[in-house]
Amino acid sequence: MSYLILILFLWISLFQGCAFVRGNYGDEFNVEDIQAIKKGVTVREEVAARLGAPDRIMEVNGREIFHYYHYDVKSGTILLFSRTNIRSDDLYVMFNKDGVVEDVVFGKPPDRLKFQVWPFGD
Amino acid sequence: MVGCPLTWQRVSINETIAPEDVAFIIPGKTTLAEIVARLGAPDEITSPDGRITYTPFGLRMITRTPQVITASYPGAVARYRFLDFKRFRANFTWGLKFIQPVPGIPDDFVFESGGIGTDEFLVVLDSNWIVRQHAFAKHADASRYRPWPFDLEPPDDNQVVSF
Repeated sequence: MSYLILILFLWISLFQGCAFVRGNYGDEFNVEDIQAIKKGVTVREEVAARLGAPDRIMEVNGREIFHYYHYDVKSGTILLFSRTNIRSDDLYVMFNKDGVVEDVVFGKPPDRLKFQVWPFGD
Repeated sequence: MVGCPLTWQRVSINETIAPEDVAFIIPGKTTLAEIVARLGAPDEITSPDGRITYTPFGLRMITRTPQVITASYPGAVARYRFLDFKRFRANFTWGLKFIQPVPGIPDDFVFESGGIGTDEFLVVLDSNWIVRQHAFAKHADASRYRPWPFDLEPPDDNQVVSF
């Protein structure tokens, strides 16, 4: 019985300061939607219909660009240590003067954003 | 975390890009598509004239209403941003919470210090999306745990700045 009380006490003491939190900003990109955009074929209206209105519209290098972005946040806390990782994913769709897709810039890291607690090292 | 006597806290935005990660980039040859294949999409693509909308740390926490930016110059600039924030906190009277109240003794006596290092990898592209130049803007030393928040050395009074 005394062992159980000791274990319970240690459990409560060690894990009273634990928290794992996750959040995001914007929708995650659907790879199928991105693959459906064909260079030289898909037009501006079709991109907007499939991906929704862009977060930003820019004109760079003589081309109109739709910019979509998404943020993911994972935070872990155990006792004295806390670490929060944030990652952004960006998608750029570039159009020519006729409003037809000229290029799609999208690259997502292969590994998922990690929950980490240890705040030292890399 | 406020309930602990000691706290080490770290916040990282995006993964750090090291010089060896971009060693494959050859100005005049490498394209934006090749960079995206290795590093992922940049956080921002803008005109070289710098007409862009910055918000702290590149977090564009604005409304979802599309924002129109018109600046048409030949070429473009791609920016990869990453940030590291480190914070250390020590509460020297934390133990007194268990024997309160102690008249005249504060229940919080805190040393807290930290730093933010915002880094950026910048790629300048020509009108054909080929790399013209690339560079790092690094402030890695700014992000560190500092247990002692006070200056260790007196200020140098003999500094002379001339223009």
